[in-house]
Amino acid sequence: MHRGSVLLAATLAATMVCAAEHNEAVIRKQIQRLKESEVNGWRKVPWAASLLAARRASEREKRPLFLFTYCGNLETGRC
Amino acid sequence: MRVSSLSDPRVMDLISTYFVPVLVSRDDYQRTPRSEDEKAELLRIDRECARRGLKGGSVCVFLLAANGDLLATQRVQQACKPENLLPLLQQLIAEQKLRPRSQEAIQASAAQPAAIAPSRDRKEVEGPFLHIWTRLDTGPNYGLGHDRVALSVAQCQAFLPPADAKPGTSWNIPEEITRPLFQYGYPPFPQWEAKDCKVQKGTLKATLAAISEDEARIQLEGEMLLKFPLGRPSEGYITARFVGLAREDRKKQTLTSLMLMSEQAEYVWYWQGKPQLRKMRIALELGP
Repeated sequence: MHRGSVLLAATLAATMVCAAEHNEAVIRKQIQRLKESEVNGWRKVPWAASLLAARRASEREKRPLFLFTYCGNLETGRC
Repeated sequence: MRVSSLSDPRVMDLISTYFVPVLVSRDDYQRTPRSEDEKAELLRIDRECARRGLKGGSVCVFLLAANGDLLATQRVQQACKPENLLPLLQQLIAEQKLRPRSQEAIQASAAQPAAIAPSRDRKEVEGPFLHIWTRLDTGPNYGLGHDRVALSVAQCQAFLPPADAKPGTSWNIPEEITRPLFQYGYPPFPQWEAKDCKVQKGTLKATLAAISEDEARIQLEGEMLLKFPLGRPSEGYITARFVGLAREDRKKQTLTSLMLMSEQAEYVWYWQGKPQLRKMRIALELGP
């Protein structure tokens, strides 16, 4: 009886470990898929660090400036 | 704009090659406030825009000459479509007979990635951090929302099993721990302030799945109800069921992994009194 209980407990524990491993792989994949869905081409544009830095570069190069102003935080998608 | 025109390869190519490009947030949300000189320059541009009767606004493209004169503007409603922004850029390039910038000049004016990247939660300099990603899966594409919040020691410890826990032991993560984390589970919208969100429900149940001398594995499941007003008088809310896992380093008694995922979250908002449903996904993950 005692041996049976121990065996059952061991089997249950092993099942929980297997389920946890399976769940972890699935969740990790789902999170990865979500992260990879980001459209982030805009990050490749060589943005200047600030408006003043851009103005200085624009004057130095005698070249127009492209300014996009927005509300929120473009970096976090909260905009 | 960031997922449409600013990520359109044709627009990216023109603004990278022929212009000095710069992004400016009007309110520095989650960012270091800008200098007084920069505020003054932005004000000068806005005033010139108004004086000349050009279409301006908070969310707008401004094209400036090398001496700072305003050449043209395009509001976001138009500029977010590449077919509107491209002709404006092409026209200016042709009129001014612009030649491509040299790689040296581009590199000289470009910010180091670190100068714009760590804009999240700048006040928090020490981790560990929890990353929260949100995405609407139906309707217009607003891209991905991504917040990063620092976890306190108390928040981390709440996920760790009690000292005498055995596989199968469950405990509830207190709502005062989950609420500040679930608060960021709102969709990436122009309504962007986290403080406007109110967590109505934020339950999380932890169950010890496996334990050894080195490691404990914890399964997580929970629910979230988040109020998220989208303008007035409409009010919206997000419902989500989460499943997840955490790991503890037993020797160091620290949280080494934490993941929560909701694949079938729903965002409901109201239009003329009728509920409008949009599917969304929410993920939370411990990270640098």
